[in-house]
Amino acid sequence: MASPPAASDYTSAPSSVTEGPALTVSSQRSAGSTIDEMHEIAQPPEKVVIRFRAIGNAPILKRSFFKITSANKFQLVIQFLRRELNYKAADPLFVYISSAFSPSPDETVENLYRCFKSDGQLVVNYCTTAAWG
Amino acid sequence: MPKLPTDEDRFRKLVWHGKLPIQISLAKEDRAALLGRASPSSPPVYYVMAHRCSYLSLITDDVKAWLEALERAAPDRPSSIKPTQVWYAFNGAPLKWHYPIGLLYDLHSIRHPPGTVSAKPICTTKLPWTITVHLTNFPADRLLRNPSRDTTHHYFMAQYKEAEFMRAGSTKRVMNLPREDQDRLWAGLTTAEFETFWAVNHGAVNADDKDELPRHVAIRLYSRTDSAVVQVPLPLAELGSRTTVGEAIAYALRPEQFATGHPPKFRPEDESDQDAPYMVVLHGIVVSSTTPLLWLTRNLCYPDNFLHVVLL
Amino acid sequence: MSVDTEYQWQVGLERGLCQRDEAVEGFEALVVSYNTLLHHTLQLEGDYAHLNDTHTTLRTEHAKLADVGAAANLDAFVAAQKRIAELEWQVTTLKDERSDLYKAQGQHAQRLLSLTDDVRRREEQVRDLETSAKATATQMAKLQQSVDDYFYVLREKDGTIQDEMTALQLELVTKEEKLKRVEQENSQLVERWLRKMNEEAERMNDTNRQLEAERRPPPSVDQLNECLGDENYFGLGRRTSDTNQAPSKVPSIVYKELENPHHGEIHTLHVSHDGTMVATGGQDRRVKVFDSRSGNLKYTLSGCLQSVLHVWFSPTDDLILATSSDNAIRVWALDTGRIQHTLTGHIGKVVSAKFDGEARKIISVSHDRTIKSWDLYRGYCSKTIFSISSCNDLCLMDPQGTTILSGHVDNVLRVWDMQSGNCVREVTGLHDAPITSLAIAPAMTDSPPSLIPPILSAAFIPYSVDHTHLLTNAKDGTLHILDLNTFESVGVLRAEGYRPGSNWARAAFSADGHLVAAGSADGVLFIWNTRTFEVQARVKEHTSPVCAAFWDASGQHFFSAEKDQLVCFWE
Repeated sequence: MASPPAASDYTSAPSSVTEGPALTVSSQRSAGSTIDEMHEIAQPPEKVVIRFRAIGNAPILKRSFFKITSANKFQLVIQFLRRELNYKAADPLFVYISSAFSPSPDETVENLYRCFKSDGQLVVNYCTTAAWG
Repeated sequence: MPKLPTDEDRFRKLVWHGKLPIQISLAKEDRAALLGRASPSSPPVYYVMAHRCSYLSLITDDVKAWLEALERAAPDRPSSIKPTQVWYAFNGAPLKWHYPIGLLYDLHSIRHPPGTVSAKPICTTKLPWTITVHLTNFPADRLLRNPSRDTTHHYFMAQYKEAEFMRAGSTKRVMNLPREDQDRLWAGLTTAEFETFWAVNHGAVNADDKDELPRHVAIRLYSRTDSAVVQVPLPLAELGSRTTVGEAIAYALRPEQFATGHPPKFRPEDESDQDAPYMVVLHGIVVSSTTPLLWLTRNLCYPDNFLHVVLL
Repeated sequence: MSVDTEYQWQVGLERGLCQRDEAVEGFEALVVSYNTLLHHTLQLEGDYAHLNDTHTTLRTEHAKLADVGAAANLDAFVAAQKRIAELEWQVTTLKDERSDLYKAQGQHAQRLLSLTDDVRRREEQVRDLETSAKATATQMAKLQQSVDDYFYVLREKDGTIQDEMTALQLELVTKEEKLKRVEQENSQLVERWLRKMNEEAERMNDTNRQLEAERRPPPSVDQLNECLGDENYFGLGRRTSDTNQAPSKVPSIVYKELENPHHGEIHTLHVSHDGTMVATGGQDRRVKVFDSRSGNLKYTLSGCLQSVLHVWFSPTDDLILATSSDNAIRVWALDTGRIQHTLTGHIGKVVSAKFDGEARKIISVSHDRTIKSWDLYRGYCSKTIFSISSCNDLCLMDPQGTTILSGHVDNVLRVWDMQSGNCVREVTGLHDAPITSLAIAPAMTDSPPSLIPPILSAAFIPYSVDHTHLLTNAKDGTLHILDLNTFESVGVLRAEGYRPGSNWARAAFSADGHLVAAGSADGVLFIWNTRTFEVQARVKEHTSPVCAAFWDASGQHFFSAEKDQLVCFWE
């Protein structure tokens, strides 16, 4: 598997990313939730909670929860993470959703949140080497 | 699910072998740099019978060879072509190389005949699909960087896993595939060998025999406008196995799905027919909205197991 | 949903896809051919451009070269000419050099050949030398090996010899000790013997004195008979029964000659005590007994293994002994002519032997320096005495044979005591040469007791009084008459031209004791008078050395034998 592109492929202007505690959104739909939960249809929030989880030797952030406007592209998340970690553009950083796959940077956070949220958060795993290809 | 009396893989094969003639012409600004002397009357063009399922970045090698041949023909040698700087555009709009070519074509070229909303659109764009190749000024703000073969490979596998995650709830099945099988997927795609690809894809992902339902259908809805790409988990368990495409799309575009409460506009020209049913374009054809979603998922997926549907 | 509707969408889809594909189909071939044409064109364009480039470059080069060439043509030509000349000159010089080099090469090749020949020869020589060296080395190794072996053997032998030497030394030491002991014993024995002899002499003197005292009364018949027995012992015949016997005659006429009685030399002769027989013995190992009157051969006694040296009749004339060089003494009985005794034991030739008075013993003397006494009844040697020197003759001083006299090769006369075995007396200085015979003098008649010692009186008188004189004959040509009491020489008998013929030449007293006869080496018989000690007669008959001469008991007949087998009977 080719080394996945470092997550710095977009140079779009970052929009606001605010730090904050986790928002408990009532009855969010999550991929893989129970049937009862599925019956509840709720609007995804404008701001989405992202939880960063370090994998392997990656440095752990002081704060791992962040809110981001869901309309943003995932590229923003990557850039934000780089800034948080003080990584330069050349430093390798590999980002995964829910320890499963690496999404395209031009996918919207809203889409990712809708599809892959768990417990009202979008879990973003990051690591300095390719973990899941 | 009643099985077709005909060849099961018939649709899959039709999808797989779908080709698109592309006319690639060298961008004006690059002509001088490449060819050196006064450009000939007709711009140098190159024709490619691209696979709909393939990616633009994979054509780059052929394009590069053609351009280099052009180069050699010129007496003075300009600088060599960097494949990572090569990008394609249609009507000036940069083409996302990480989208399948078929999707790109559907997105950019299928025209709804004006005025006829309900009539079935036909492919009105003249073939071949004329795109231009640029060698400089890579638009890094609109395209993903480094469109190399390896990067394309990575993106493909990432999309494959994403689709798997949506279908099964985890990427276990893909990750448990032996290395050779994973490589075979990509090899089959790049060499356009149906058997190679589907031998792995069939066993690992599409569990037709077991009649298992995917948890969610991996479907993405695209529109002509830049913004809208909708990816919504469609729980088959809730919707039922006999959900049609139309129903699924309706479900997907419910306002509640969206943070803003407004689904993205897919048909900017015809705002008045907001509620009219969308035209579902897939693989260059219009799909009837009565088509069962499950069947569609199983038979008309792109190689990455996504249904890249363009709504008109 | 009906089946139709169910499948309608599918059919629609299928149709749509097929239409799509149809629309696209045509392009495929077109694109392919277009691309190949494009490729070709581009290639050709490229080649053309390339060719153009090369063409232009070549043209410019050519133009340049042409310019350069034109300008430099002339110079180049001249330069080229010069160059050619130079090169030609170089070529000629090189050719010369080459020919020189070829010559040199030829010479070198020849030298090389000769050198290789030399080398080959040397190698052959070397090989030969090597082989010879190898051979020498092997030989040397072998020799070394043999030397080592010899050394080893020598060492062993040396060792054994050393051992032998030490053993012999030990033996020598022991023998020396033994010798010392023996000499001591010998000296002791000699002392004892002398003591014994002195005692004997004393006893004899005593008895002499007694006898002198007893001589006064006339002898009785018994005494006469006794004396007869004794008279026999002294070799006097029975005829002389009275004190007055006829005086012995000087032999003058040969009445009988025996020529070649023996097959070899005659060594000895003896007359029987009764005078009837004459016995001779010689080199032919036989003893021949002749009649003394007729000279007829009476007996031939054989049995000796080697030549006979001495014959002697027994006092009773029934036995005769012969001693021989075969170290044995044989005794024959004269009536049967058969051997009665063979007495062996001497380890040297037996030169003389005498019977004792009763023919019970024989005392013999031999060149093995022993005196042996043989007991005839038992038939073995009963006494052996070492006599220091070889003895040529013996005499018994008394009929029992207790004291004997022996004459030795070392010029010494010895007196032995037979019982103790000691030498009682040694008389030296008598002779300068070996003593050849001894004879006891019989009784002398008509002799004034003052002049003639009483021993020379008649034999009837017991011996101890009558026979006190001894005649010794030696090879220096002198005969001594000794007084047996004092063992001093009473007189010396010499004659010019007299020499004993052999070691065993016997001299004898006459029957009356007045005469002494001895044969000389030239065959002349010398007769001396014992009173005057002068030569009375020289009788020339024999031609070879006379070995024995004897009167018979009457003194009227004389018998002599010479070496060359002539026996003469004289009257």
